[in-house]
Amino acid sequence: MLNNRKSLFAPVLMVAGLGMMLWGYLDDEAAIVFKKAAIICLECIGVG
Amino acid sequence: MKHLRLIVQACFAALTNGYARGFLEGKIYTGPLKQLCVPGLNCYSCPGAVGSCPIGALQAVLGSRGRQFSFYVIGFLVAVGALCGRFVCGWLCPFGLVQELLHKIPFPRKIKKLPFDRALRALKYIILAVFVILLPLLVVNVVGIGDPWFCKYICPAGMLFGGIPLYLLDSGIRAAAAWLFAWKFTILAVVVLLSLLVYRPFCRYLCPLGAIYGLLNPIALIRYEVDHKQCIDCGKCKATCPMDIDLHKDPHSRLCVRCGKCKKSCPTGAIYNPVLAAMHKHANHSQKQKRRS
Repeated sequence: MLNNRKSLFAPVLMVAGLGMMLWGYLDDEAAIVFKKAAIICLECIGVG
Repeated sequence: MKHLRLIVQACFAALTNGYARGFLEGKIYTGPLKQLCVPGLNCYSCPGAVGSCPIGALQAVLGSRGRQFSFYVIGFLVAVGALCGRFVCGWLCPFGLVQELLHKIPFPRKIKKLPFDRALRALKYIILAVFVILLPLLVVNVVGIGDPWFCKYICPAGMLFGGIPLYLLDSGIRAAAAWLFAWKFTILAVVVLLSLLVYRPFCRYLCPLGAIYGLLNPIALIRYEVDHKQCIDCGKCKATCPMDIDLHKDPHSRLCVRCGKCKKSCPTGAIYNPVLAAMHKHANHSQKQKRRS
C-alpha cells in the first residue's frame, strides 16, 4: 500500500484532519456547532 | 449484492435522520450528537437529524464572533475527504440519494450534462468560496455574527429535509414563511426538475461539500486507478459512467462519486482501487508463505 507514494498523502491528511478536529474541539468550536444546530435554523428553512 | 449502494444510502439516510420523535412533534433533536458532523449534506434543522451538516457547521463557526477559521470542521472535512473523497456523495449523502431516485423516474429525454457544462461545474467552487466562506466571515451584524449565506439563500437540501417538514408540522413557521421560503422552494423545484433530466445536477454544479471532497478525490484512499496494460480503450467506462467521466483518461476526476459502475462494466478488470489491490496482494503473499512453511 505504501509503495504507491500517492497513497501516503491520505493517511497523513487523515491524521492531520483528526488533529485539527481535536484542536478545534478543545477550542470550543464544537460548542459553537452545537449551539447553532440545537435550535431550529430559521435561515436554513427559509423563514429567517 | 444487488443494489448494495442503494441499501447503504437508504440505511445511512435513516441513521442520520432517525430522530422519529422530531417528525411526530414538529421539533428537532437537541441532544449532544448535534455537535458531531455527519459526512453528507444533511440539514441540522431536519426534524429527524441527529448530527450537524458540515457546511452549516462551517458557516456557523466562521460567522461567530472572533473566529476566522474552523479547525474542527475543516479537520473533519480533510479527514473524511482524504479517506474517501466523493465516496460520501455516492454512498452516504441523503440529498444525493434523492437526486438519484428522481433520475430513475422515466422522462422523455435524459442527458448526461447541461449546456455550458464546464462553466457550470465551476459554480460550486464559487459558491463554496463566496457563500460558505467569505460572506459569513465578512458580512456581520452589529454584534459581529454572520449569517449562514449558503444555507439561507441556496441550500435545497435544507428546504427539502428541514423547511418543508417543519412548514407542514409547525403553524408558527407556516405563518412566518415569506419570500425567502418561496425563493428556496423555487431552487429546490429547479433541482428536482433537473434531476429528472440530468444525473445529480446539484452534485455536479452546485454542491460546495462535493467541491471540497472532490479536491481530495485524486489522493483519497478510496479511489480508482486504471491499469493501462490491461485497458483496451473500449470506452465502456465512459459510456456507463452516469457523471460522464472518461475514466481511463481521467481516473481522478473531481466529479467521481465512486458509484462503481465503471468497474463493473470494464471487460478486462483494468479499473481497481490501489489500496484494496495492495491489501489483496499482501494477503496472497502471506498465504503463500504460510503454505511454504
